[in-house]
Amino acid sequence: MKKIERKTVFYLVFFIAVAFGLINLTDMAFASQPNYIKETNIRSDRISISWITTAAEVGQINYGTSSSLGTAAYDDRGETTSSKTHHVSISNLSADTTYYYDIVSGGTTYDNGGAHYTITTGPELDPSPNSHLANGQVFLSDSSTPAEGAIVYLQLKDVNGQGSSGISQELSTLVNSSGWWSYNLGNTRKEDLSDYFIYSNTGDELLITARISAQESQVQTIEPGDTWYDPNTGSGQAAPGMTLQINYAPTLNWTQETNYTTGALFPETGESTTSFAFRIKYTDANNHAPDVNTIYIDKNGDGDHSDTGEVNDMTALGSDYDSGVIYTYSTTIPYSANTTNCSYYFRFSDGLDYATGNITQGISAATAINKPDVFQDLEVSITPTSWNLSNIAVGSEQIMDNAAKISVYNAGDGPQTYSLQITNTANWSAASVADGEDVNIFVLNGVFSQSSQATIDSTYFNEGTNDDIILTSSSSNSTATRFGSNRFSKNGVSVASGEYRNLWLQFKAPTKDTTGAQQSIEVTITAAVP
Amino acid sequence: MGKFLGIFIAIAIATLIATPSLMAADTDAESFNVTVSIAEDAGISISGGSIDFGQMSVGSEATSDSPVTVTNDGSGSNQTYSLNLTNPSGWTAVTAEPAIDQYRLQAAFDADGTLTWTPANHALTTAAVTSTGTKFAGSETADTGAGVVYAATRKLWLRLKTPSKTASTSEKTIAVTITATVD
Repeated sequence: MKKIERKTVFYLVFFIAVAFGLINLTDMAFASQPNYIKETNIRSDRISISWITTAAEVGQINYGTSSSLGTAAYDDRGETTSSKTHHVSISNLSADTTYYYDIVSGGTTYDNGGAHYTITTGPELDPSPNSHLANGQVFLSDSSTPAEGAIVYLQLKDVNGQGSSGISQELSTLVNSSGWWSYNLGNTRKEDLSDYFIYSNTGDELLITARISAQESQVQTIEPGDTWYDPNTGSGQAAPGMTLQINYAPTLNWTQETNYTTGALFPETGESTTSFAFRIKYTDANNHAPDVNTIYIDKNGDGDHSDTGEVNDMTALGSDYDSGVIYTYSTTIPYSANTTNCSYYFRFSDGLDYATGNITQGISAATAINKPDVFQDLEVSITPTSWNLSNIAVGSEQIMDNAAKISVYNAGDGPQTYSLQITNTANWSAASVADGEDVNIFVLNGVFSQSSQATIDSTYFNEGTNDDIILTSSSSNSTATRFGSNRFSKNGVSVASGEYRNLWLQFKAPTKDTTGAQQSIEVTITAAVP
Repeated sequence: MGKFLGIFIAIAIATLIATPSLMAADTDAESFNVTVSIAEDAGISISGGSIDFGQMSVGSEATSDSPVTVTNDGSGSNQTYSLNLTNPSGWTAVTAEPAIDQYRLQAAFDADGTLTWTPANHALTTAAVTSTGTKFAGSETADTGAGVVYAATRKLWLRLKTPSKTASTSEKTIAVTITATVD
C-alpha cells in the first residue's frame, strides 16, 4: 500500500471540513475584512488610515508613490497590535503627492480589487497660528470601563457663518488605556485641504464620533471650546464623557402599503409624464434619524446612478424611527433611448452604519432594482380633422388642396411611424387597388410629405403598385414608398418628436352611388414606435 | 416517457426565459373623417326603342309585340319615369275613345304585357305624367315606373288605338318621351 504523506492528509481533512461546513471560509475572510475605512489627519506630510474588523486582527498598510508600493506602516499602537480597531499613521510624506496603498488585515491583503487604494497629501502650509488641544473620554457601554482602542473621529462644522464655511477635513485619534483622547484642532484643514479651517471656539460645532467595533459607537456634537482641557494641569474643560452605545444598523423594508408589498416603486412602468412614487420604510432600533436618506435613480439607463438629478434626498413621513418611518420621493423620468434600463437603490445611514435592510435588493448599486421602465410617449395630433367633399360627380377624382391637407404633428417624445387605415366606410367600401372604384366602391389614397409641401397632383399617388391605398382590412405602416413619394424629402417613417408632416389624400368616387346619402369615411392615423 | 417529459420541461423553461418581460410600447391614434356627398344625376338607357304597329284599320287597337326596355343608368339613385308623347301630323292624342283623326296611346311598365289596360291610368298625353303605383303600372306591384333603383330594368309596353275615321292614311310616327327624375 502506498504511503500517504502528512501534507496530503492535512489537505484532505481541510477540504472535508470545508465541505461539511466545519470550517467556513467566508467567515474567515469576513473576520479580517476592513470596514469603516477612513482616511484622516491628512496634511502635507502625513496621513492616517483607520478601519474596523469584526475580529481582533493585526493590521498594516503597504504604501508607495507607485502601484508597486514598497513601504510598510503599522498600527499606531505597535506592529503586533491585534485589535478590532486599526489606526495606522504615516508620516514623512511629500506634499501634494498621491500614494497608493493596500490594507493588510489579519494577514489578508485588501487591494481595492487590484487597483490599490489611493490618497493624496495636502499642500504645504505655513505653521498654524492656533493650538487648541481638544480632549475627552470614552467609555464602554457599561459607562465605566475605559474604551481603550476606540477610534475618535473629529470634524469642525461652521455654524455661525464666520471663518471657514461648511465642514472641515476629518481627523482621528485613538483612545488610550484611561479612556482619554486628545487632538490639536489648530491644524485642522478645510475639506479640500487647501488651507486651515478657521473656526470659532463658541459659535461653531465639533462633531465627535467614537467607534470601537462595527456595533459599538457613539456620536456627540459640542462647541470646540468645550473640549480644551489639560488633564496635567487641570485647566479648561474636557468634552463630556462618551459612553459607547451598541448601535444597530438601520434596516430598510418595503412599506407593505398597497402597491408596495414587494417593491418600493409604483407604478413600475410609465411614460415621461408618469409620476413614479418611491416609498421605503426606514427602521432604526436606536431611534436614530438617518443622516443619509438618499435615493439613487439611474434615470437615463446608462448604468450610472449619480448623473445630475439622479441623487435625491427622500422625505420622511414621521419621526418614530424605532417603529419605522416611511420615506418618499416622487419624480418623472423623461423618455430616452435607454429608459427601459432604469434602476434605483436606496442609501440610508443612521450616522454610524448604513442600512443593510431586510430587503436584499435596492440597497446598493450592485443590488439596484431594474425599474422603472419608461416607455416612449406616443402622441399624434392632426388638423383639420375632416375633409368635406360635397356634391361631387360619380367616378370623379378629388385631391386635397393646400387648405384641405391634413397636418400631422408628432406630439410625443420620440420618433414615431404612422400607419393608415379606414375604420368605417358606412355604406360604401374601399377598393384595394388603385383603379378599383365601382358601384359604391371608392378608392382612397394617402401620401405623406414634408410640411413645406404646398401642392400635390395625381402623379404622386401610387407611384408604385397600389402602394398608397388606404385599406379597411389592415392598418398599413408607412415606408419610404408606402404612403410616400420619392419626390418628397419626408415621409411617414420615423418622424422625429416635434416634427410635422402633411398628409395628402386622393379620393376616387364610386362609379355609382346607390345610397343617395352623404357618406362619412373614418380614416385612422396610428403612431407607433418605428 | 420520462425522457420525453424531460425534454418538454426544458423547452418550456427555455421558452419562459426567452420571453421578454418588457411591456410593449402602446400606440396613439387620431381619426379624421372624409365626408362625401355625390351629385345625383338621372340617367336611362333604352333598348328596343322603335315599336312598329304595322298597318292597322281604323278604330282598331293593338298592343306592341315587344316592349321597350328601360334601364336606370343614372348616378346610382332611384329614379321615377314620366311619360308624354308628341302628336304626329294630322292626329291628336286623346284619353277617351278616339274620334276622327284622334288616337289613344297607352303605356304600361309590365313584365310581360299581360295586364288590364285602363286609359285613365295608362293613356299618354302631350303633357308629361309621372309614374306612380297606378299610373303606367303593370299587373304586378313591382311593375311601375316609380322608384326604380339603379341598374334596374323596366319593360314598357304600348297599346295603340287608331282613329275612328281618318283622311290621313300615311304612316304616322309618334314620339314617346321617357323622362327620368331622381327620387
